[in-house]
Amino acid sequence: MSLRVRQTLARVIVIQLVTLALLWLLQQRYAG
Amino acid sequence: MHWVNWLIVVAYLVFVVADGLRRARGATNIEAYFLANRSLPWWAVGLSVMATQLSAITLIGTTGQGATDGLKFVQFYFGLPIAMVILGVTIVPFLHGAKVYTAYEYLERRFDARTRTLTSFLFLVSRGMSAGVIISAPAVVLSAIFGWSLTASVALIGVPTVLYTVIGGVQAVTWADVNQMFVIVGAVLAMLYVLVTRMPVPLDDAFAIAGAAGRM
Repeated sequence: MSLRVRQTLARVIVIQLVTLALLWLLQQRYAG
Repeated sequence: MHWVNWLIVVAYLVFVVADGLRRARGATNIEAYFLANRSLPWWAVGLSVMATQLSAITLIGTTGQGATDGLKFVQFYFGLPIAMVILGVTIVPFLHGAKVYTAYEYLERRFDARTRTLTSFLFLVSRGMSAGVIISAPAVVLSAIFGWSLTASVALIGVPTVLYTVIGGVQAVTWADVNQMFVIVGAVLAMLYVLVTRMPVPLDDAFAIAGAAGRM
């Protein structure tokens, strides 16, 4: 895997983790 | 409907068709028609791929899904970016290097004309059916807003699209997609703003209601 591919994958995963964390926080606060 | 809304709809349709055709003027040979002479910038191709995956069904359907089922369906969209990276590393450079116009051309080279015919036939049938659904969903919405017949709404969506695609080729399709992406993202942000500011209850209460109803 080239450096560019690894960088892209890393960015994708970071964005997904941040989104997941936000969704999780929303659920913790509001899900009944 | 207010005349300003009409003006926006008509001006947008004319702009998308005219801009697509204007950018496709150099498309006089098959390389330009199918591949845009391999000259498209990466960001335009990327936005075009996004616009292709995102249909009116996505906007209308996922909203309905969220309202009935909650946010479960979001997990599907977590897989997509990773799939895109895998495709970008494997299939795309392979087809790009094979110097073919379509994936089906490669199948003919690798196997035979029957394989190419069967796979392209299956693609066209499935794509034709899905395009029918993809056009009919927003057509239902448009006919409800304008008070038109469903046929007229389907024609309003379909005819400009077919026109710029047939006349302009990939160049026209890609630039029309780029314009659409800007409109879609802008519209989603505007909808979010209106939704949050005009909701009859505060945002915090709305989340609490959604949570209590099992939609989180």
